[in-house]
Amino acid sequence: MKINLLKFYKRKDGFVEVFKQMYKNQDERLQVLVVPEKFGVSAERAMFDCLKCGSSFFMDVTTFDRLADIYVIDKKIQYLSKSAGVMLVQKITQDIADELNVLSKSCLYNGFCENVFNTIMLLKSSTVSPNMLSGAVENLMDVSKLKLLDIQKIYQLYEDTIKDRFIDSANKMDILSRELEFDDAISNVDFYVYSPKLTKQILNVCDKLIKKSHSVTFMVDCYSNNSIVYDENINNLYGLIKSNGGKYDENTIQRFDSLSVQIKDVSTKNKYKNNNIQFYSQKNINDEVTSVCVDINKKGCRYKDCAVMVCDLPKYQSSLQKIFDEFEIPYFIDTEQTLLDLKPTKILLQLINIIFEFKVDKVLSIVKSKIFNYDQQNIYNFELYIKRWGINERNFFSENKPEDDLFEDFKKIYDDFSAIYKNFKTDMQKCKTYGEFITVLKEFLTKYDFENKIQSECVNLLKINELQKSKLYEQITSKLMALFDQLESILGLNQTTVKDFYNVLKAGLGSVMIKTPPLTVDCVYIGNASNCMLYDYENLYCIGCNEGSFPVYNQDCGLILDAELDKMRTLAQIDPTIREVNMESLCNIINNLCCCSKLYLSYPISVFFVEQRPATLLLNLKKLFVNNENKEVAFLNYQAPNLLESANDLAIDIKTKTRAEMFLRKINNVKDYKTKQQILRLNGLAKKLNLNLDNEEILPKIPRKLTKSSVSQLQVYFDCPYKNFVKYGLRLKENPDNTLKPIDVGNFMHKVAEMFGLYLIKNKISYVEDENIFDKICLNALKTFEYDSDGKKGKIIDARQKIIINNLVYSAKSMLKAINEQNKLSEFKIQSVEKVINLKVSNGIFDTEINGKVDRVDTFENYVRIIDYKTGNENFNETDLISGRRIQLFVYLGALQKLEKLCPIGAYYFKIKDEITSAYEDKNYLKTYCLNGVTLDDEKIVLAQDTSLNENHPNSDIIPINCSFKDGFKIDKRRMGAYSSEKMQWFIDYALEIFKQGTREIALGNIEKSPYLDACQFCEFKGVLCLGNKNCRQVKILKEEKTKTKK
Amino acid sequence: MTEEQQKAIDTVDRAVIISANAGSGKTSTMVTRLVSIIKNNLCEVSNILALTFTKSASTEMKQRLVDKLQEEIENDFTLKKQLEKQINELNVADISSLDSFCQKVIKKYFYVINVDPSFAVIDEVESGYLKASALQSTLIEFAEFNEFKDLTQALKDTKKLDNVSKLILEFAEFLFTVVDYKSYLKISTDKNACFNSCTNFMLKRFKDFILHFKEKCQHYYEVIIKNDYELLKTNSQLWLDFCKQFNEFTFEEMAYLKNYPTFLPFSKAKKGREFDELQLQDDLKKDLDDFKDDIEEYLQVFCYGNLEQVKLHYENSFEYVKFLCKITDDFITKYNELKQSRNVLDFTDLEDFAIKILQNEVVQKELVKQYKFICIDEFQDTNEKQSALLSYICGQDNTFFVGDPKQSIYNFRQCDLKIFVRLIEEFKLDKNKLALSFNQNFRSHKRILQFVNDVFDKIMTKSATGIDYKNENRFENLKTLRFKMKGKIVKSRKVNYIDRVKVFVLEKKCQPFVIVKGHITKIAHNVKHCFSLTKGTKPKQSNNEIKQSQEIEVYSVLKNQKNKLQFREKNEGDIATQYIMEFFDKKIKIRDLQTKQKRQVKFSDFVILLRSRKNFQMYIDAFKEYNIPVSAKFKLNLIELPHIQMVVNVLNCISNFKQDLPLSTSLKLIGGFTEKELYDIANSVSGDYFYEKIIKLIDGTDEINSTELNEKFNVIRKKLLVFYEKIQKYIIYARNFTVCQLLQKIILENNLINYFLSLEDGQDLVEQLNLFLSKLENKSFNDSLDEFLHFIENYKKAFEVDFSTVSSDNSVKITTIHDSKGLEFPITIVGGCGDAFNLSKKSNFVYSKELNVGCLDVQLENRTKYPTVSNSAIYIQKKVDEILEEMRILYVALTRPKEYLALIGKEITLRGNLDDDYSLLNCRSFFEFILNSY
Repeated sequence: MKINLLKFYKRKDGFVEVFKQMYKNQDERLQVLVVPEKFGVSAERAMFDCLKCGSSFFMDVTTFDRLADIYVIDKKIQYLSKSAGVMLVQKITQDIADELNVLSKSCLYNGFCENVFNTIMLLKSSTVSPNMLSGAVENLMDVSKLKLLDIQKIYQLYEDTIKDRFIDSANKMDILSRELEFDDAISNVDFYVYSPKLTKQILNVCDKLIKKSHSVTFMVDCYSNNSIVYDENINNLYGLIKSNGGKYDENTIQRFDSLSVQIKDVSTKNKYKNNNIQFYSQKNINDEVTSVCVDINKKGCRYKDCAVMVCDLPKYQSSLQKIFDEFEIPYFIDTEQTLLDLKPTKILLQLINIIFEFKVDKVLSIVKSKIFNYDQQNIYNFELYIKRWGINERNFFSENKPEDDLFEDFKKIYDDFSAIYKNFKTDMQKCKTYGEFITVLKEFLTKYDFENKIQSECVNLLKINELQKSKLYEQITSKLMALFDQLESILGLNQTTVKDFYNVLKAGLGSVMIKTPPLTVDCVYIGNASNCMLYDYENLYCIGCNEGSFPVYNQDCGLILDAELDKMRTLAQIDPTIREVNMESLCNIINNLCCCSKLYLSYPISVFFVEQRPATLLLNLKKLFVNNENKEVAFLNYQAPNLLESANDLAIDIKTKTRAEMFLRKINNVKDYKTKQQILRLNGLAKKLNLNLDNEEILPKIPRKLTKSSVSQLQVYFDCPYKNFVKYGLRLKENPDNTLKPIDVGNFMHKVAEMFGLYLIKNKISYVEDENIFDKICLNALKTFEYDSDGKKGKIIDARQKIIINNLVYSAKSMLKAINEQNKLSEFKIQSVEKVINLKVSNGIFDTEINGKVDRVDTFENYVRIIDYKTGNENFNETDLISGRRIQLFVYLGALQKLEKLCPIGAYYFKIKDEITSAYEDKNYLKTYCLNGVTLDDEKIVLAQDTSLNENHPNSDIIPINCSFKDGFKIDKRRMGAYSSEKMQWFIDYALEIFKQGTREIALGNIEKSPYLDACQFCEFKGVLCLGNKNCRQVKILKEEKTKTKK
Repeated sequence: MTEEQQKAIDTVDRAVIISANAGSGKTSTMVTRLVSIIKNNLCEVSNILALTFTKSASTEMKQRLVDKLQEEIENDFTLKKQLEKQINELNVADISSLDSFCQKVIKKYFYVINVDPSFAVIDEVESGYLKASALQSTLIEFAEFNEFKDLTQALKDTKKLDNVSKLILEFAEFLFTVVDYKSYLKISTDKNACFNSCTNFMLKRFKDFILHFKEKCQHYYEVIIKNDYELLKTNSQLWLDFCKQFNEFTFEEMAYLKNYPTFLPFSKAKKGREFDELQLQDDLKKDLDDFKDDIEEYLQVFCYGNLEQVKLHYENSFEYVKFLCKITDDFITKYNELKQSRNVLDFTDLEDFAIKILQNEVVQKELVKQYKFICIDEFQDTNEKQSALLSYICGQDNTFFVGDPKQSIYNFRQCDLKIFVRLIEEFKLDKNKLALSFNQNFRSHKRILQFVNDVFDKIMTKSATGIDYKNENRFENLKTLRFKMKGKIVKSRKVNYIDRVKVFVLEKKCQPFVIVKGHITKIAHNVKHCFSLTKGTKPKQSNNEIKQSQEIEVYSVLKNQKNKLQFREKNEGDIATQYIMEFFDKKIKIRDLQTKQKRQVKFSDFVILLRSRKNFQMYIDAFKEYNIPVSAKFKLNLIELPHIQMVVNVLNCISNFKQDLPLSTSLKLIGGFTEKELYDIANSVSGDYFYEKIIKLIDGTDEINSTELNEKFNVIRKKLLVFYEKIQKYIIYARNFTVCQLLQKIILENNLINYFLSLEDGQDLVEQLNLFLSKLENKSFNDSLDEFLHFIENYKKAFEVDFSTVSSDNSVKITTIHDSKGLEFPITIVGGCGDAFNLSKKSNFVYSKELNVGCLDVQLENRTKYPTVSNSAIYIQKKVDEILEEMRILYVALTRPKEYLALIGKEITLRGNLDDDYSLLNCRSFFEFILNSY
């Protein structure tokens, strides 16, 4: 027969049939198999597999492209690769941006040029010339017209540039079909063609093959009898066959009556037995992949007999890698990367990029990239320095950088890099043409030994077992150089600028595909469902079959629209449209599904907490594959074999202790969980079950002796013992940062308050009349605080910091005013500020010294009260005292009582805040700055602290007390500020006692992780702690009165 | 199908609008209509535009269409070819959310507005980052301006420029929802226009307020006269006189008040009076106090009738407004530039750009021609911008709007139910258009519906809310129920729904350790349900134990974890627990959603609906205590979680070894160092920083000489070298792989998953880690470690996510009312009913669409602030809107259950009856809405 048509379900069946044919014919004629690149290897492999013959018979496996090469080589015209084409398009678009109608400047970004280039190739392969395009465009609607005219313009210029100088892939096919016409040698050849995509050009070639060769056998995928599947390719092929004299009935395409056409239908009759196809639903992506791995291991077949088809590979890729690594299953992910995706090329681009867009971040990554040989330690210091001084684009090259003792060493990097950068910049800026740019770039790369650097990185990657990446890196230099050469040969003499050059280079890099073969033969193949082409596998796992991604439909919004393509199709016979592309990917998926003996389909119930539903296609497949159509087959729920998960589930149900313990022991014996952390894990579970398992102590005791201890250290201890350990035991520090921080604000306010206090003490007055003194104090405080009036600190000046400091001065003044007003109305006088406290106490184990500073001590007669300035918005509450987190005030009060024999009557927070008061309310500041804390409920004490209290003004604005004078002096209990002297003494004793207790516990080595309520939330060490905030301590005290009343 | 529904399906030659109650089957009507259009060959699928407001709703709709069409095929095989083609077309049909529709339009007609068609749409993570950087440069630029200094001072910015940053961001966020923000800003900076509208608004408001009070006084007065309460009589007479001073409600009248220094005296009745009189007196006093506070506020705003002053304050404040507009405008410009330079669009752009494109006549014509049928679901959630957008593509007779104004709960996104209400009115008047309402409910038990009717009859009034519930929106066809009661028709109000609807009120003063007695005060007999926790449950801690713990607590706060003092007050969670357990105890059966058969209740039948996520934890804690499985969706910031921070710390260490915290974390996490070892290093090797000590040990330059220590340190040194090698390996990795890949490597090689699983709630930790990884993928900062670290340091907010706790399938769901919209649950518990609404607070700056921007007059020299008409007017308007929104939220909550409904909340003080709109708009909690209507 002249023309044969071979239809098959499984590709393997098709190939087997072809090989049988070939085997029969081999002695008489030359046998040539034309298949897509992807089948090149597998077809040959399959041949040996299925024919079981030891030696090869005489046959050729090739692709259309390689077939063309035979004829092209003679022509001695340079071949224009895709990336060169893309760069050319990029250049053309940049050049004529002003002349374009719609694809103007804004279109000069990622992927655009590749898109245009592909369109041009599409047009060319459908044999549409620029002129024809403009003819076709005439009939289009306005909106599409402009766009296509632009493409036509670019297309025209593209053609003009390559004419007579280069040939591209589309030209190749033309040449092929032209040359075949005159090649009589093929008359003794049997061709076997399997081409899933049949463009007009390829159809032309096929036409020639039919005419000139001895015979042609077309292999066609036979889809399921699902009526929604419609195949454009087959129709085109039938058209071709028909034009060559074949006849067929369009309704029953399976029966061809023509003499010259023989159709062989190679189909597996029982496509799938019921148990060979399984449908699963899984909780999530990870579970899906895990169960695939478990299944592969369970089946015990060879890895190369398994394939995983993923419907949305990018979404799954990381999970696949992670879990396959975990199961130690070798795999090969069939994806391509562009050169642009690789780090070394990115660094290269960044180098050019910082010439016209300098960014410190980029400098850091360049420096860290090892392209220059800098010492690791110095790089660290370099980074710390930049962070410490807030170095940015503006002041990177400034002459007088802040001096910093710590960072002497790294200066070399700073200077060296600056020099390299400046040289490179000048060199680049001198360049005029693409050629010159490339020369400079090449020189630069040679100078810094780019090739060897990549080589050594390859070695590094091998060391850490990254074979695939290493293989990719090996290709970088050659591909890069090839790209440079291509660029030089097509555009070498054209003028350009740095930025344009950068864009063209970037477009080029983005279009160079780079790929590695599988590292071992025996590995699981992983591919994308819509574009991979499977051959034959024992087990096929198709995962991610949820609606929306199975299959992934292209939406109708590419560069050229569906409607526009449809128009063009009728006018210039271009195919396919978006809908047909979608149909193609659907067909491909179904074809792929046919290429296995056992099929496993699954979909995730949720993807990152978004609920999913099974794909309609999956449901259709179910009907298709499962024998009894009406019977609904439920999705199986494959449990991921995560013991712990099931344990957690059990934890809810198990009520009795014994059962739980038995279960725990069972887990204990499982061999997979050998790690040391197993015990820990059981702990977590045990906690959940409220069990007391006798596990070894997780945290050791680390005793520390405290001869001197500050109150704040103890307060931290009561916040969380572990935090105390990290902060004071390990003494971890953050690296200095010289930008203005909230803590500086607090310090400044304290300073101002301190200076005012000193001023009053020095002048032996309790308040000032002249408020101008506030300004002076604030200015002085700024100076001592390393800021001058401009808000400069060190050498870094920022207008924003100035504003903050300016505002700070305002609120400082407002604070001073409030203190002054309070003092006016008080009999208490400031006795000292920042008073140092040293008190020796014994905790029962050893003696320790309490160290600390009191912000302010006020006295009146023999009475003493202390005041602490606070920037936060905390109020005194008993619970905090009881829990040990806020004992400062009372410890100090106790110390003063013991050391100076004064009678303690009050402890307050003075809240520093910036208040703008409402004009219609009481105008004084006092209310907003009212002291917060405790005092004695004694008339004398109260009135001494607020002399303004009287019958008409019973509520104090200074201390937290309301009183009444009606039937003698009384204190209103509703405002919690006043306590009896016994209670006050209890507070003090308690504070000292718990202080001692704390030191004792530290000495015994308690470093437990037990934060107080939300202490974790704001802890700077929580990243070291690793603990949820669920183990919190919580202390709540009963108010005596309340319990009484309840009884 | 009801008559109405059939009419909606069959009418294809006119524009239709449907106001559909909750559970009235609006979506299924819509789907049936579309199927009938397709079946009858009126158009192709590609000629249909169906818009929903979320992506999931659109997939749902597609799915339902496919199902329905396939059903049709099975019914009539002759349609197979035609319908299968349409099913196939559905995949690319325009059944989508509005956002994706906009995206499509932009991709298609990008050249009209000159955007790059290869744009990417960024989520909040990336847009937030861009906003943050744009804001930084705006702040740097404006920092030199004096106005800026004043603004920061007025906003009290002392620590960072936080307040001003927040203001700019929020204002910008608001502007993004305005159709044309430029012209909005222009109007906002027009002094006179704003002043007049705000003043008029305030005067009108004042009038309402006085009239309301007058009425109240009148009412009291009548009662007093009737009962002849001597003392009160004089009082109320005075107040009535006071109210009579106001006729025109002008400034002049206001000025009169200046002469009323102690206006509205209140003389107490003597003791020993009758109870009724005292009661009346109490009520009166309460009303009066409220009134005094309110009136004082109005008077301050009007400067006691001094128009000059009012103007002056307004003008002073206007300077701030002008500057705010300027700086925000600049910020938006910068942000837009950033987006453009990266070729990305955010969600706001999608709508903006689509509108711009649709303004092009050619495009508009083409689209109008393409879409023969347009249907829009959830139309009540449309905002001004979206409605503008739709107006371009909708023809005269091909539209089909469905929605429920009562369920419009996205006011905070500037959704405006008035658009829908207006449209209904319009349709009703137009003979060529059809307005329908679906008043039946196929979801909930009839008694629940009765309850909903009873509540909303009273509170959802036309004058206050724009929706006439009683006459137009009640659930209908409940007659059978009325009839059933004791065999004769009873009034609906008397229907007893105790068995279906329960209300639990927590006593206000919950004492720790004292079991709360839940009871209800002032509730009409038919809702009353007393629920006492003391009944069936034993208190966990007896009084003895408490006393003991009180004694020991002084000296053993930390002593022993096992004896830890952990008490909490009984709260709503406990009541919910009891309610749920009662179903199991009493073995109550419910109807299954799928099988329609009666069966035992399961945990998954219950849902807790809460107003905000804040209270989730309370319920979760309670459920955990009682071993009730629970699942809830939280807002979490991944970066702030300790274990994520640990992992990020390892990255930090890889990026720069010389950092104490990251280094020590890495030593612990991937180096396997114990605390003891770290402590030994810290205290035996000299050096300021911890990292210095480590480097010394690695280099061997440490000075540990004592033999005893040396032995110990040999082990440590060896361990350190292994660790160092590991870090070096990761450094190579970091150079050549993405952050995401690096992280996965670290997690895998160090068995971190197992480690996290070992901790309490380990499963959650692992899920969170996975979520974190998924967030990193495909992000622009994923490429370089430095960029990534820089990013998270400066923009922590980026990692805020929804996170559901991992639990079994059979668990009680906790969700917000907003998230529950459109869903149904067998048993619904609405919590937090007594909590006060979280209304926006008074602030320096407020803004609204109608009244523009209002600011307080802050006088920096003497640090005082004055209210202004604009500020107060906008604030009041906002507050009213928010309260009405809460009412609709309550409606959504109450219409979720199928079988049972429970309401739980704290006790509230009732503010009298809801006689008029004014007091209705003063409601502050769900309970006030509900209980007041009895």
